[in-house]
Amino acid sequence: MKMQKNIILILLFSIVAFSCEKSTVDKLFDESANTRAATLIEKYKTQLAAPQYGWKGTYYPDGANAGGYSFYLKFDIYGGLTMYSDVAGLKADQAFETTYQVKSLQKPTLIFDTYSYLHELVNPDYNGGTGKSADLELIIDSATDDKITLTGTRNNTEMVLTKLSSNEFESVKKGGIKDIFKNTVDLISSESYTIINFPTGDKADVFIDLDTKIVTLYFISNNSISTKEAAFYTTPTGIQFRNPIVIFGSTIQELIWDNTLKTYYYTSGSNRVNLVQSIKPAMPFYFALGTFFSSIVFDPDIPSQSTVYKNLNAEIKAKTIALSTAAPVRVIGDIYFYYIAEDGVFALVFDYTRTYTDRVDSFGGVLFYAPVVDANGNITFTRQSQTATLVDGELFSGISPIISDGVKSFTDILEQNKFNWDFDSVEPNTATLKSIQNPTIIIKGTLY
Amino acid sequence: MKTKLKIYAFALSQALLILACKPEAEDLTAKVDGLGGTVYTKNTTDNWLTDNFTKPYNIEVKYRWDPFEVPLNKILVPPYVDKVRPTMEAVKAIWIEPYVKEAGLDFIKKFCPKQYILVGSANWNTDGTIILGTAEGGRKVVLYQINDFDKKNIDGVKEMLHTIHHEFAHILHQNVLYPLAFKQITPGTYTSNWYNNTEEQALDLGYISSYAMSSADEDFVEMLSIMLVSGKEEFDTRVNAMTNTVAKEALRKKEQIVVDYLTKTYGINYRSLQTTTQAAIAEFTK
Repeated sequence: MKMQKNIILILLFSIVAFSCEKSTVDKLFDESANTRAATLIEKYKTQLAAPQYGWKGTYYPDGANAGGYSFYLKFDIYGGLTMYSDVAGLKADQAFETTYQVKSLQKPTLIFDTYSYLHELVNPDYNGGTGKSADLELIIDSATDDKITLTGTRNNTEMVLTKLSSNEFESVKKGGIKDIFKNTVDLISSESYTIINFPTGDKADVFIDLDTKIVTLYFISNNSISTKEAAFYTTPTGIQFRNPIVIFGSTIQELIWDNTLKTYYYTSGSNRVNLVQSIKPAMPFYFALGTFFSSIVFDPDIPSQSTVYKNLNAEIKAKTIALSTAAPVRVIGDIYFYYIAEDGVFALVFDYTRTYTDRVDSFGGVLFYAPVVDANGNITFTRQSQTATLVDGELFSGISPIISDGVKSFTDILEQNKFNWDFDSVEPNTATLKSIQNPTIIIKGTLY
Repeated sequence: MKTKLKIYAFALSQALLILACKPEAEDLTAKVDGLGGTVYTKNTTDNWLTDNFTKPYNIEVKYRWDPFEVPLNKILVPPYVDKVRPTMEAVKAIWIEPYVKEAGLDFIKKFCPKQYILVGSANWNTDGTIILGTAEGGRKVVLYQINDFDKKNIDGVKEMLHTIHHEFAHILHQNVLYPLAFKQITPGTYTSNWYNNTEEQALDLGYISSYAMSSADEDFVEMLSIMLVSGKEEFDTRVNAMTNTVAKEALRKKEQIVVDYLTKTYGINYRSLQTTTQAAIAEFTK
């Protein structure tokens, strides 16, 4: 019995002795994960608030597969944030006072926690529930006093913060981004085309899309259309590409605005190349057809429209009215070619209306033409069946006999002549058909 | 003596066992914001919320982004700070204050949801429909589309307050169930495919809204909330215009049960609450 009790005692002491044996595993870290995360977060907060003029942030949503945005951010240590951004477009001179947090989610994360310009990119109300695949929570991947790199938690948005200089900060505050935005809007909404004439003699058309933030260069390579594009964001000096476009011996990283010349330029090596404005694209007419435009409206009111066409237009309108046997009469409006690229045919459309006492009915009479371009680049048009079946289905049902008869003098000219067809030399965004057989026949059309 | 020694020895070993092996203390609990949780400097909006919701009613109003308070699978954005106060002023004026007036302060303190989460955008479903509000277990209410809140938009204000009154009515019937007779008024037409019915079709079957068709509980809270937010006059006009007498009678029966339920269960005069709510909406949106 006594023996048994002693054994129990020995067992108990041994439990104490062994259970508390010091772990032989060396700890990798001196502090717990919680403490280390808290310390890191404090460090990040201090780093974010430290720069006197704040940070410039480049922001590429959707795993950097989309266009970019610029943010100018001044964090305070109390969770307040003053934000400027090119997201605001023409209001980019207005600061947004918002808030932020640095919080430990899976990793230390910068959270833009109340609404701001940045949330305009995330907001699902804009794209039927998806927004622009951007992020409002961004993991801090690395941070120094001069540079912080972050990655979005949901859509892998790529964000890089670099310390802002006083100059850039001042020019953002004074509306530098807004000015760039406005100048670019003016440039791309003008009737002119923007062209690069490369030092090599090659040319490219430049399209700047301020909505998708993608710039695209169109050029001819191996006798076909080629494109190169770059995602960009706007700065107070111009348009900064995410990756440079290397083309015809030039490396274009940035388009810089010249406010005297009112155009962009780039520098490549020792070359400065100004982008130029032109009434017609660099792309030759037959390449541009179906790419830059697909409609040619034969408008009698084009300032330099030929008298021949003006008279012709008036004649077919009057004849159609005269031929309308039953009221209300048919009144011809726009006359235009629509190029159906998939089928390689033109639809010649005659818009017309019939006005009743209680309503106006609109119609379109349509004839289909197959084009043939000869070795000299001259074109003839051959009328096709009135009810052609197209790749995308049967597009139009044909034309009323009254319209067909009414416009006959116009369609006769179109069908009985061979034309030289090119951009007009004086009107912007206009094409001109010139008859080879009868040089007095000139028809101008506006391009859409 | 020996036995005593052994007892001491045993006690000592136990003490050693407990004390020697005490693990390093580490607090792993998630703290509530404002009580040791996320620390931020309070702005005027925070202070207003504290003074108008947290202190008097013990309601937490969260508008700063917290991914774990909202559906993780949805794309959402936090609200404009400027929209928070006007929204919650509407909640206070059109939901809390009428109940305080008609049922007393203790009533609202006891039954109100304890947490409001505000979201800037709508909550989009994959079919293109949107959710404007949700409630979880009588404790938490999430309000969406706060960024579109405009106090002059009467329909918008009513829509939002309908959501709040709807969710609050759930809490009321979860505490004391409404009479079972309610479930027997239109028993055969409750359906999970309620959304296939237009509002007019639902009315013709004796329901105040198409969503009311989803279950008797939803039917009950839709009656209670819509009659409050639309008012007696609008409700009467709508019901009196109905040609289907069976459906008309069903709606009148449901109306009577709702009115009696609030009086008998909570001592609230529903007609008076209706008038007060209408006056509050008119005053707030003027």
